[in-house]
Amino acid sequence: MASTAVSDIPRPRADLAAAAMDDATLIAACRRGDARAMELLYHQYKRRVFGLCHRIVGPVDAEEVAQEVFVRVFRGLAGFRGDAQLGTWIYRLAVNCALTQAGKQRRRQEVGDDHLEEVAAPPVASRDPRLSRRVEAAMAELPAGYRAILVLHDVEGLSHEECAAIMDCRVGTSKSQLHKARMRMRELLGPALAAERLPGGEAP
Amino acid sequence: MNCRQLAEQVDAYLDGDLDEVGASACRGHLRTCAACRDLADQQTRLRAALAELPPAEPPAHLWAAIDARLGAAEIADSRRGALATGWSRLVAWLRPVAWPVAMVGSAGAIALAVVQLRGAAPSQPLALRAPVVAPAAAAPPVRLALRDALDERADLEREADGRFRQVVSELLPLARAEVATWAPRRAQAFAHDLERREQAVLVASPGHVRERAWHDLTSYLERVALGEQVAMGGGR
Ligand SMILES: [Zn+2]
Repeated sequence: MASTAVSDIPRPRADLAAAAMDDATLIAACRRGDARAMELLYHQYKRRVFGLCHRIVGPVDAEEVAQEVFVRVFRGLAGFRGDAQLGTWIYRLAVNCALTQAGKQRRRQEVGDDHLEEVAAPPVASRDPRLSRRVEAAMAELPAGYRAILVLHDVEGLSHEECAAIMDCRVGTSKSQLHKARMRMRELLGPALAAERLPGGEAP
Repeated sequence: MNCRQLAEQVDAYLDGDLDEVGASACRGHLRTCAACRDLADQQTRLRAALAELPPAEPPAHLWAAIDARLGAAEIADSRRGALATGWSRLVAWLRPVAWPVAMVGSAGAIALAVVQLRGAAPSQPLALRAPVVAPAAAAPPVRLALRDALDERADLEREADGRFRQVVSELLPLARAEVATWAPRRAQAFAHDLERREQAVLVASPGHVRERAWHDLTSYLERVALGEQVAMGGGR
């Protein structure tokens, strides 16, 4: 499509104190198409959205899914009813988009598409690269639903109440799913996990 | 508390979700059971490892890509606005397509004509099934009735094909405008799906099979053209 540089068109520019904007103000400004507000919203949520996508669909598809999420966020803000927190709503979109993509990946895998062999390429690990890599490889083996709850709660550190709101389920369901996901992770990691030392433990 | 109970409770215990009595029971069991201590240790290590996974950094160009897609979507919106009235007229025009009813009628006419050609009286159920064509079947020269029925059928097929073809030609630009806002992979999937459906129309034999293929193609384009209706509100 022959479109001009889209960000260059004139847009409303309200006098916004960029840092101090509550969700309602931010949403209203984004609905008006305020470029700064949109970018602000993006920067506010990009890490967690991208993180969720990356952990759920893996590195190959993460970027495309993250794009999809934000396009849907901005296109969908008009229909956002405010009955959930903005963050909850955005993460729900992210999880839904990522799980949809994960479903496609599985179908592709069943058809025998070979380039899906590549498992979560590890970013540079902070503390123990070996364990991080194993954990990421094990996560790639989990069913996508388990992976989602594990990422939300144990990686992103959200509460069960937040997880339940995002996954649209009861708190009890969120807890029991997480329990199963962790048990599965322990099975997958097996001796690797047993052999590792606790962070801050004595040197070998 | 036994080992099985501890395995069930270990998450809640480590998350601090148990009350004093429950937590104390867990600690009691852990003090005396090395296997469960291992289990709890592993769960603790797992949590630490998950919490310490290196953050996945969004690439620097991500916003530009999103911005570009939003721009493409707005361009598509503006085109759709102009075409929206055309679209609703198109739908109104498509509604009264008489194909299915007419085809049942003419198929009945052929069956009836064939039966009469063989000199047999049409059975009651057949006549009941095709009352529409009674006048045609009653026309004097039976051979002519058959030929007319076949001609009529071919005409109907041609007409229906023409109408569906026109619907497709009007839907296609709308759908393409929507697809322009999609990510490349999805757009490729669209091209693939479209081609598969066009192929289905091409290879379908005339009549209901082809009609179904046309319907499949047009309703697919319709869905795409109207945009994906994803519930953005409270639900999914
Ligand atoms: Zn035990």
